[in-house]
Amino acid sequence: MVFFQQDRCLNCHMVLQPIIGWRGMVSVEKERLLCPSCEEKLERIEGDTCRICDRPLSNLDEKYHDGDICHDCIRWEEDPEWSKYLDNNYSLFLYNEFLKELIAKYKFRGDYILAKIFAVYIKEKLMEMHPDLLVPIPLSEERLYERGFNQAMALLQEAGYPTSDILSRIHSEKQSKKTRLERIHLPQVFTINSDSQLEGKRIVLVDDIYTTGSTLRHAAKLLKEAGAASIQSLTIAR
Amino acid sequence: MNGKYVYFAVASLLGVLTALVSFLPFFLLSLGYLFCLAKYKRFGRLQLFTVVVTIIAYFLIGEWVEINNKTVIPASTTTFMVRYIQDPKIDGDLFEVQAYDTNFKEKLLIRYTIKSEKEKAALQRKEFYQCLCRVSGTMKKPAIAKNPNGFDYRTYLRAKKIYWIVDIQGSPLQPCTPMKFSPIILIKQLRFNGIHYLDNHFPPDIASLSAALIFGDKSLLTPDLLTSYQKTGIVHLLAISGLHVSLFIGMIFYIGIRCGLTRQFMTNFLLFTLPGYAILTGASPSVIRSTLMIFLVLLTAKRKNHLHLLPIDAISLAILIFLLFSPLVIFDVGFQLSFIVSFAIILSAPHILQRYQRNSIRMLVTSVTAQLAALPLLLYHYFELSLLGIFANLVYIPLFSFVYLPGVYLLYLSHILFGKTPTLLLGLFLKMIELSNQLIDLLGHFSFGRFIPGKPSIIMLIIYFLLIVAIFYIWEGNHYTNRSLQLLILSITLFSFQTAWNWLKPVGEVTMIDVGQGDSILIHLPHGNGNMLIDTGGAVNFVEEKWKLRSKPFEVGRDVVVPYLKGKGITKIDKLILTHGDMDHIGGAITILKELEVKQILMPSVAEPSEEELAIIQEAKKQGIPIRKVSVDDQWKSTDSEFYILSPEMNFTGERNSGSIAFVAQIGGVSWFFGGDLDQEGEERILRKSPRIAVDVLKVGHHGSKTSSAEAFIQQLKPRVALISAGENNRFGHPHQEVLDRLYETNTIIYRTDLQGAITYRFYHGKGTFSTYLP
Repeated sequence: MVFFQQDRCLNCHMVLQPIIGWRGMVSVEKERLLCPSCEEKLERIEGDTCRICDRPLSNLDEKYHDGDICHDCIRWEEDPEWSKYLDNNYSLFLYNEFLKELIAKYKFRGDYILAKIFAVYIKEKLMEMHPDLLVPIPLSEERLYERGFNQAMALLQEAGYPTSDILSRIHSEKQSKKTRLERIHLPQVFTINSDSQLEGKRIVLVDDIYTTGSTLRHAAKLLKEAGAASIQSLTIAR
Repeated sequence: MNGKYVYFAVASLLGVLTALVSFLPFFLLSLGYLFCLAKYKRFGRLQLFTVVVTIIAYFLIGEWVEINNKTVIPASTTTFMVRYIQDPKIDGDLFEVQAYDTNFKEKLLIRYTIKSEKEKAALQRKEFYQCLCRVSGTMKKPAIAKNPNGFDYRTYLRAKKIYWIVDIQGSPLQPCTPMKFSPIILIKQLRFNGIHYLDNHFPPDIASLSAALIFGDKSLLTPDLLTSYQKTGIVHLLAISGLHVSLFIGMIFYIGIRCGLTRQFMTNFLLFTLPGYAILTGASPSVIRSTLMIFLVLLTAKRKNHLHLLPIDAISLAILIFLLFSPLVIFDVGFQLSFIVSFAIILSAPHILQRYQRNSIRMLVTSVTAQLAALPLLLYHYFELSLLGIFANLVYIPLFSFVYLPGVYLLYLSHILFGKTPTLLLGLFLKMIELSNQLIDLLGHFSFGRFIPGKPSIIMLIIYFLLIVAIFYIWEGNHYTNRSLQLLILSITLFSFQTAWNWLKPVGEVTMIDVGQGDSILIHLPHGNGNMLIDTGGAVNFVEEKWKLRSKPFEVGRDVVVPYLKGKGITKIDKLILTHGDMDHIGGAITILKELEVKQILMPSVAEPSEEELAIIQEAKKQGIPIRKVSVDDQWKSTDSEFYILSPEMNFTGERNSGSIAFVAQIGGVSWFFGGDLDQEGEERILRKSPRIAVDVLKVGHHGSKTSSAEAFIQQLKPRVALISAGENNRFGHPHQEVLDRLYETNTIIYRTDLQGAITYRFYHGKGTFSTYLP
């Protein structure tokens, strides 16, 4: 029936069955984006995580972390070139098969509306973080032309936050094609747009995935050197 | 549209309530509802518009019914052409049946007093359908309620579009002419014959239960058993309910498929026969609701590649359809309970009930859900609730669903097919019913676990509903750490706030309850300072032939006084004052002793107590209630109130009325004289002893008879107000004109129960006013 918009799951396109119950009856009706079975597959990052990169420690072997910090982050922090730039990272979900597919659909296949799914959680998290500036990780012009939108910026827009156009990208080779070492030892891939006032600002960087943390650290280094007080980051997946 | 019909069902209900109950509050509620839909439920313009149209449409339907809900028959009519639309009720020598007047196109309630035992037997065998009869008799209006919380027969019948009771002189079946055949009549005849078949071929215990479960007819059950079912909170099992219909339909469907018929055929077959089944089972609102829901579910299941109908949508559509055809059904208790309980269970099923895996626990939770949902309505209509009901249901729901229901069908079918039933099976079944009836009887007389907070006011009802929704809301939630604690607090509030309010309310009252010809006066002091009941009313029963006796004759104590007290949340009587041994004063006492907690009984100190008094003394002994024989100069006090006995003398020997307890009292800032049926002789004795006695309010002696209220007595007392308790058109001619004249002479304001119903003096901090129930 068209009279009431038949809501469907944004991912699997199944019709959303109404929630029957006392709560459903009495509480405010929210826009529902995913069906319960898809929603179930999103794994929230909870419990003990790495102090810096938010990596869950519960299913990580003892030998890969020291207390509340993982060896990856130790390696970053021991390197004087990268130490202390990124204060810490927050991630929303585990980068499992489902999310991998969902993000691929979102950014590579241009299903822009999927941003709405994450926007809800992004909003929730940003409420806790109180940043002065929100900086989405930029795409190169070529990449932007290819995809049509910047996935990080779209998340912020859907969440209803203003974005700061501070960074630009100079290098365009795809990150996902490189190894960790290649990524770390890359020359700086970002530049700061000239007229930005960063002195003493608390900045939150936003990106879709935290893999090695090199992109975020590149951006963090640049911003901190330009005078930012603190740099945190927020990603969908980890 | 899935899951959305419920918003339209609520809209239709609001529309009907606005038209039929009260315009302004429900109109405002409707506006609030629309606001909520727009703001919180994401309703767009078109959808809101449809909801508005629904409300208006149902409002207009309600208005239309309301405007036409009045009689068109002139009061002087004596002859009626009627056809009978119901199985007659035959009780003792009373014959009662609903009929439809074909000239005026209006329903009537026909009453007839059966002349002989032979005629009664003949009428019991007779079918009343398919004939057009000419009857003549006198029309009268149904009785109205004359006490607060009393049953208003006129309103009750009006909701069924019946405005007149016709007392006919001749037999209801002469002269009659046969009528055209119709399928509905055929089904009604089938029902009538089916019930009689049961009555004639089975032992009474089985016949009555089978008639209730197969045909939805409770008239074969004994009134005492029915009362016990009611008190234990399992009476819904005797009504044909949703559970019952779905089990039955399930049985038929399964048998059909097992016999090799296709699902599609069975679905069509059921769709075709369901309406007939509803009529066959008496077409009560709960039957109509459940058959309608199943009908809708089956209908949508037929449509391929379409989502099947959710239960919540089925029940919502059922409300929409039901109210469309008969908006007046909202006044039917069965309709209200059936819908609200089903609705609560449907809302609880996906989350709350789902959580409990063990079958027994889940059943307990379902039972609690049903009781919680029904609570405000049960209190509103019956003033009490059995908490035992939750556990009684736990035993009886499975017993009825899986033993009795298949059992009665099996016995009935085998008797029809083979002309008899296996003796062993019958015996086993009989024994089981006997045992379960004994258990119900036992539970019914158990006073523990009964919740009697009084009839809730509208505000109280709203509080109840909010608390109950809050309980379900929290119960459903998953992430609460202290959920149990919150539920406990809410439940305690639910079961105590009304009682607490009754206790805190600083208003006291003295009420002369209208018990017809008789006396019963309640003195209620605020803050738990005491409840006193002076006399209990009582009807005088004449010895009749056995066939003329009603199975449950009207009894003032049970039918008037107890409901009045329970409606006020009064369950404890500190002093039951029985002024003297006449039936019209103490006839209801035994019921009071059984139904309420009586702390003490006061009786006059007389040499020869009456038979009724002896029976009461015996019952009191059984229950261990102390009896105090009072005589002149006895007295007692309570906060702000004093009581002083003036009569009788100790060990009084003389005429019974003359030995009535008479006392003066100071209550609510005024002085009172209560004297039972004290006669002029007794009045003289009091005047001799206390020549300067004067009071503000006089309970006029002996229902206003001229044998009491001597001129000198009235002149001396100089009451400002006189209260007379007498029956409407009583055969003694009470109150006598002489007495009324004497009271006029002293400029006394007279209140009479026969004309004004119950009379109440309500006081607050030593000041009060009189009011009457009827204007």
